[in-house]
Formats: sequence, C-alpha cells, structure tokens
Amino acid sequence: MIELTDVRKSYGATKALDGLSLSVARGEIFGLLGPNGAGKSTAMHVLVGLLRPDAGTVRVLGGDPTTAALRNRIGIAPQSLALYEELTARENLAFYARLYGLSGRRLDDAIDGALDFVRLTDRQHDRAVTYSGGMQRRLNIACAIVHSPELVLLDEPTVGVDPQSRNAIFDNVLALRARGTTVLYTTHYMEEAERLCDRVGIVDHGKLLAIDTAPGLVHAHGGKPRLFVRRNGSEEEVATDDPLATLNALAREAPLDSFHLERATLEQVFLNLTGRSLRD
Amino acid sequence: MNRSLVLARKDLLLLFRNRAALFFAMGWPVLTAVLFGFAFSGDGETGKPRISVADLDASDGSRAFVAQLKAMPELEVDVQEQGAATELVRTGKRAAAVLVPKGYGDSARRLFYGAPAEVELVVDPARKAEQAMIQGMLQKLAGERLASAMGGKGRGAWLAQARRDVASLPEGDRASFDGFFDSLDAFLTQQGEATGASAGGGGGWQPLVVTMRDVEVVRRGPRNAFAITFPQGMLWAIVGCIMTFASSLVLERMQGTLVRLRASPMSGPAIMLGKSLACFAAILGACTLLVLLARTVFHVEVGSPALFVLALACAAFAFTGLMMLIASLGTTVQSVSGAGWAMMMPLMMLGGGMIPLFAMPSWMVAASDLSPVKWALVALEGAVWRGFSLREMLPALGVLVAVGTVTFAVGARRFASRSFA
Repeated sequence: MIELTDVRKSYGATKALDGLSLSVARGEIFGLLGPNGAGKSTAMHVLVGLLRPDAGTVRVLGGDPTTAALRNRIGIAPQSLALYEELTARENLAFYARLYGLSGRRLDDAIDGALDFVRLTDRQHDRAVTYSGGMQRRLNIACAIVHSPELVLLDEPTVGVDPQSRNAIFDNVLALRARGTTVLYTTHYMEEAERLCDRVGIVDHGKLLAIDTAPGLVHAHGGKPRLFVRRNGSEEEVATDDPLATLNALAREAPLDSFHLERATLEQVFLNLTGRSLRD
Repeated sequence: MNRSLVLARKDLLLLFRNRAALFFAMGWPVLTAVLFGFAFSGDGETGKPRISVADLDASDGSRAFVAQLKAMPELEVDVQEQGAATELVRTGKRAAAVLVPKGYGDSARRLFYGAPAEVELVVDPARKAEQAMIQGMLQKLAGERLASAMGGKGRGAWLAQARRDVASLPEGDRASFDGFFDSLDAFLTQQGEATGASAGGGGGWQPLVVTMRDVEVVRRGPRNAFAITFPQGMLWAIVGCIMTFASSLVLERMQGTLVRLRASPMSGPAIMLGKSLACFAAILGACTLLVLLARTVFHVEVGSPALFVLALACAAFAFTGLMMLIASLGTTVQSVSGAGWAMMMPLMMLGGGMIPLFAMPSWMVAASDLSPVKWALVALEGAVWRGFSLREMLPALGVLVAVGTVTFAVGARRFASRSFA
C-alpha cells in the first residue's frame, strides 16, 4: 500500500526527512509517532505527492502519488482545519467531492454517507464557522473520506479537541479500518498510537527510529517492567521480565506492606530512543 | 477545466457570503459613481434642452422670432452661424439647431396666404424626447406670435398690411380677401382677445411649418456626468474584486485548504486557473450590474454594447493578471492586502480612477500612460461615450491584454514557487 525507501527531503540546512523507509500494508492503521517537527507532516506531504523528495523512492497504492489518477484514491485531513468556514458542512463536502469527479446522485449519496459517518447530519446546513473545535475536526475528516478513498492520511486529527470529540474521532478511525481503508495516522500523543494503531513508527529528526506494534516497541525498547515493593517503611524498585515470580521471591524473603508494578509506555520508548520526551 | 470551474464556483459563493468583500466589489463603486456623478453635474446643469439658432433671414420678423425663442424659459438658446449650429448638434453638444431660412420674415407676416412660415430643425435622431419637446415649443411660439398679431393694436397693423399686400390682386380675388379680412376683424372684435390656440387650431392649418433634418451625430463628450463616474466606479469594482481574490488565494495557503486542493487530482495550474476564473467572472458580474444601474437609473447610454463587452473582457483579463501578481507579493493576507493597496492606489490616482482623465494637467495625462487603470478607462469610456471605433480602441485593448499576460505569468510563477514547490 505504502512503500517509502530511503526518502530524503531538506529545507536548506534542515533535514526534514533523513533516509526514511517504511512500508504499510493494506487495511492497516499505521501510526507515525513523534514530537512536533519530527518530520511527520513532511512524510505525509511526500506520500500524497505535495512534496517531491530530494532522494529515495515513494510508491503509494502501487504507483506515483503525483499522478491525478492515483490521487483520486487518496484522502487527506491536514493538521490545520482545511475547511471553508463560511460554507456549510454540506457545501464543504460537495465542493471537495466534486473535485474528485462526483456528481448527481453519487455526489448526494457520498455527502450523506460522510455526514453520517462523522455524525454531523443534523448540523449539515450550518456554516462551519458555527461549529465547535471537535465538530470542525470531524468535518475535516469527513472531507477526507467523502470520495471513499482507499488510503486516508490523518495528520494530528485530534489536536485541540475535547475528550468527547476525541473519542468520536477514534471511533471514526476504527470504523475506517473496519471498512478496509488503510489509515496513516500521525500524532504526538502516545495514548492514541497505543489505542488505535496496528503498528507504530517512531520518528525524530526525519529518521525512523523504530517500527513495530505498540507492545512490541515497548518490549524491545521500553526496558523491563519495574516492580515497586514497600516493607518496613522503605521502598525497593526491581526491574524484572517476570514480575509475578519476582514478587513471590520477594514475599518469601520478608512480608510486604504493599507493591505496585509499572510497565513501560511508548513515552518511555521514545525517551529511551532519543533521550528526550515526546512533548519536548 | 471542470475542476477549475468547481473551484471558481466555490469562490464566487464565498464572495457572496463575505459582506465586506461584496461592499468593496459593489457597494463602494456604486457610491462613488453616484456621489461623484451628482457632484460633477451640479454646476451648469439646468435640465433644459440646449439648442442653437441660426438666423439666415436677418429680417425684423426673424429677429423677433429669435428673440422670442431665446426668451422661452423652457429652452436654453444661443445664436450661432448656420455651420456652427449644425456642428454643435453633430458633436452632441446641442439637442437641436433651429435654422431660420431666408424669407421667413415675409412668410410669417403673410400668415394666411402665400407660402407658410417655415423653419428647419436639425436634430440628433437619438434624442427623440427632446426633439418632440422642441418641436412643441416652436409651435407654441408661433401660436403666441399669431395671437399677438391678432389681438389689440397688432391686429390693426397686420390687417392694414395684409390689405396692402392683396391690393394688386385681380378685382375678384382682392374682394374675396377684403371680405375675409372684414369678417375676421369683426369676429375677433366680438370675441375680445382671441387666443393663439383658437387662431391656429383649424383644419390642419399651421402658423409655422417645422421641417426636420437628422444629422449623424459624432459624440465626443459624455451625455452626462454619470457617463464619466460609472466607468470610474467600474474600476473601483475591479480593484475590489482583485483585492478580494488575491487575499483569498493567500488565505487558501494559510488555512490549509490549499494542501487539500493540491492533494486532490487538481494540478497547480488548474488551481490558479480556477481562482482566476472566479476573479474574472466577479469583475464581469460587478461591472455588468454597474452598467445596468447606470443605464436604467442614470440614463447613461452605452454607445457600443459590443465594444463595451470587448473592453470589459480585456480589462477583466488585465486585472485578473494583476490579482495573481498581488497574490504573490506576500505570504499572509495582511501583507498581500497591504502590498496590493500600495500598488493599486497610485495606479488608480494616476490612471484616472479618482480624477477624470480630461480634468488632469497635461503632465499627468502623459504619466497616466503607465497605469493600466488609464487604458481600462479609455477602453470603457470609448465604448460608453467616446464613440470609439474598434480601430480606435485597439491600442487600449492591446495594452490591457499585454498587462494581463505579463502580470499573470509573473504572478503565477511567483505564487507557484511559494506554494507548489
């Protein structure tokens, strides 16, 4: 579905992509996790042919994403709200759908479907400027999927939205996978990557540092789970691959007052890989 | 092309939803055209038809006729030589010219016999309403003269002269006339003061024959002040449109919609074409509404509708190119707007968008050649009131097409390098 091989892109002295290679399978939700400025959006722009790489090869849906025929099969929801605020939701969707060649009954059906998908049918005739941030984000996604693309690129789709809208967007992303749509999802929120993505690629400074399932990344780069035990007023920390066996062994030595276990997260993975936090 | 039309349609819809943009594209131009139109037509505008009169007879009768004509409050009359009077009509500066031919004085004096008194009315065939009014005024004047001749002392003098005129006729004829004069005198005495209407109202007889002659009018001046101010208003509408669309092009880039457009099957040139089509259509629409308003409310006649369409299309093309250039001058709406107004205001001032070209000092007229506003105004005015032929209009159209081509090419290249790299 997506094949990036040693892709490089620089803006002057700044390397936005520095030998990025990855592949995404059909029907997969693939997450690109990294802090702001890591190169996620640049990678996305390369994938839809908005940017030509300085070096490397880009294959999307088996072809060159700069061709019009291939772009017909891709949808994108940019990080900024790419909406016309003075148009209604229906007018926004109609405009974008027409750009993809839809007309007549197919156009109406596509708009109705997209509105229903993001649950904005009852507000379809209101101008986008009157929507809450979460509703605008959902409309942004609807505009990306109105032409039923095979590949959808969602660039930080939950930035600045309330928890309720965020959950609604999560449902939308999972529904896309259920339809068989491939999703490339960029985020700097590790919880989103863990919750939604089949696989996650961790990027920083334009490089792919690691790629695997979220548990696989944690297992490979997060370090051992840490067991914290408290007895006789003092606390001990033990790193262990088998917390249960370790806990039993510690309990046999002397009675425990309390204990808790901390497993590594993608945040920890990122910290271990880069030496800094995702939110730095 | 289809996708460009979709984009243009969306932009026009957004224009209609933007009240401020609509005001600058339509409201402000109408305001300036109407206010300045009234201001310019305030001095010397009497509302009376202006006519010239040429006295070729130079008799007492014709001089009296001219004097009475000049005294009519409904008309503004000046005395000219025959050629000058006709030329004033031909150049559209007078509604008509009254030529009083040789022999008028004798004919007017005879009244009921011999050839009737006659004047020639040289008219602009396009000014039907004024023509009918002037004709009526001349008949009214003749009626008043007849009433004057038939009443009081004037009647005695006229009858005495009439009896002398017919004295040389054969006996039978002379007796008939004398009988008629006696009856007329008795009747008018009995009726008291006779009126011109009663005297002139019988069976098709007229106290004055007015012969009409049309002249082919060559208009070199505007019909009224609105013919000047509405083309200027159109330029303001054009500027309002190009500033709106230049800003909207940059706004697409700023708000992220350009990313989505570029990720669609639409090419970069197709996006710029769509924007340009919207701007072009908005200019045509705004100017068409202005010219309809000028025509229906302010009686501005478009001399050549075909040439007007051509001039408007070329002006829209030129300024659409300028729109693209302005859009490439900055990276934010604020910077593009600032740069755009900084560019357009001097061009408007220099090109006649504020001060009419004919009111400019000669050095400014020469300098105005540098402004595309001037060429757009010349072309539009050429079609509206300057009476241009296509050949006369071609230089202005050529400049506009050249300006549009160059500015579009430069602007599109600059914008593309910033947005589609």
